[in-house]
Amino acid sequence: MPDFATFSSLLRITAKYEMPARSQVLELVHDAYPETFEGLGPSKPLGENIFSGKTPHPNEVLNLFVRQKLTSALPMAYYMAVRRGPNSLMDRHLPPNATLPPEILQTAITGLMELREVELNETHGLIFGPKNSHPSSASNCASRIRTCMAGSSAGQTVLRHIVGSSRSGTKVLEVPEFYEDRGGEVQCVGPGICSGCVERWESGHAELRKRVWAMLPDIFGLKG
Amino acid sequence: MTGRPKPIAAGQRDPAATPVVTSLGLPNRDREPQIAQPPPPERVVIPEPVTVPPSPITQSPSISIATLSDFTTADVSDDGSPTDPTISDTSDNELPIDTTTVTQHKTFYLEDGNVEVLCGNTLFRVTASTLSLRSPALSQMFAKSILASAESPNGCPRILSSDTATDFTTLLKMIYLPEFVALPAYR
Repeated sequence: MPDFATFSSLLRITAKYEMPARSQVLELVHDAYPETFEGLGPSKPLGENIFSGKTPHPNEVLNLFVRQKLTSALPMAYYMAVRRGPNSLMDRHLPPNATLPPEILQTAITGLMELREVELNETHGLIFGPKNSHPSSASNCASRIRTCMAGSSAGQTVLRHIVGSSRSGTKVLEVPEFYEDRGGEVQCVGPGICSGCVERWESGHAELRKRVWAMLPDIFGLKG
Repeated sequence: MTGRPKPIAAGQRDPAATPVVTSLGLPNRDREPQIAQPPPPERVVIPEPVTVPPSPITQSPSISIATLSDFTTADVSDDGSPTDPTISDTSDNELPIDTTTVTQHKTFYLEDGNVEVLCGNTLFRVTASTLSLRSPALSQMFAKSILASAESPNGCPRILSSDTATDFTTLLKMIYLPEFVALPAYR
């Protein structure tokens, strides 16, 4: 994989001079900026991490892809930019190439807010159950979090762990870690949460990621 | 030790909160020109504007800005063999241009070239037929009628390109030294 500067040059010149090699250049980013949810492999490098040399700022990649109209890669490029949060999107210390023009910045910020809302609401629903419903856990499950004070507290801990703070952006498309290593023992981040509940959350979050992926083009105004 | 699934690579809660600052100081290669000065008339003669047919994927013309620093890195040895598998002549250290000085590109001022291309203040000499074979747009750029009307200060036609020297160098590497670019094979 070439460095980002070379890749940028390749994109520009193969477009300008209508060179057949453009398709080969696009292949370079095809896997890192997938078009489908299935392309989000759990163990392969994605986004700006694929470039050799200095890793470019995701804003810089987004700027390039918008200019070059790499439509199929734009949902992922937007996501990679917004996942770092508003401070990264609007960082005034970035070089001009990584500074988003107003229209792209507006789209990105709006998209981030929308993603964040979905992430918070859906993750809350996943952990605490839909509104006006009863938790479906077994009777001896500490995850009866809406009726049990300790369970509720544990659920809040998990929720905070999964969604993080708004300043840190979003990680809604990423596989959450419900477990952590505590002194050599792997335990759920929410004390007392049973493995059955965690499995249910993991499965629910996988569905959430799929839904969110399908929403990206709409969220970033890329449809039509 | 953990038997749990790991987050996706892209998604490892990186240091996300830690903005990547490694790109600070990257050059502004995509922006509109801050400086656009024609070369001095006694050295650089601007022929008929070279027009390139619009591409389906449009690109605003880049600026003829390049710096000597782009080409001071020896990435090709004198005999033309690669000394480094990576392309090192990015414009990361672009400096203000001294448009009074036109400098021949260290690698791509070919002795047997038959047309000069000026990008910023960097002068290339290439073989028009070799480039023309690579795309219709290049073929049009080096059309006989255009070359015939161009000034020839060094004994061969000189045309002015709107590409940056960095971009044009990458183009030439694709054509003359494809091993530098390492493009994937056609699927």
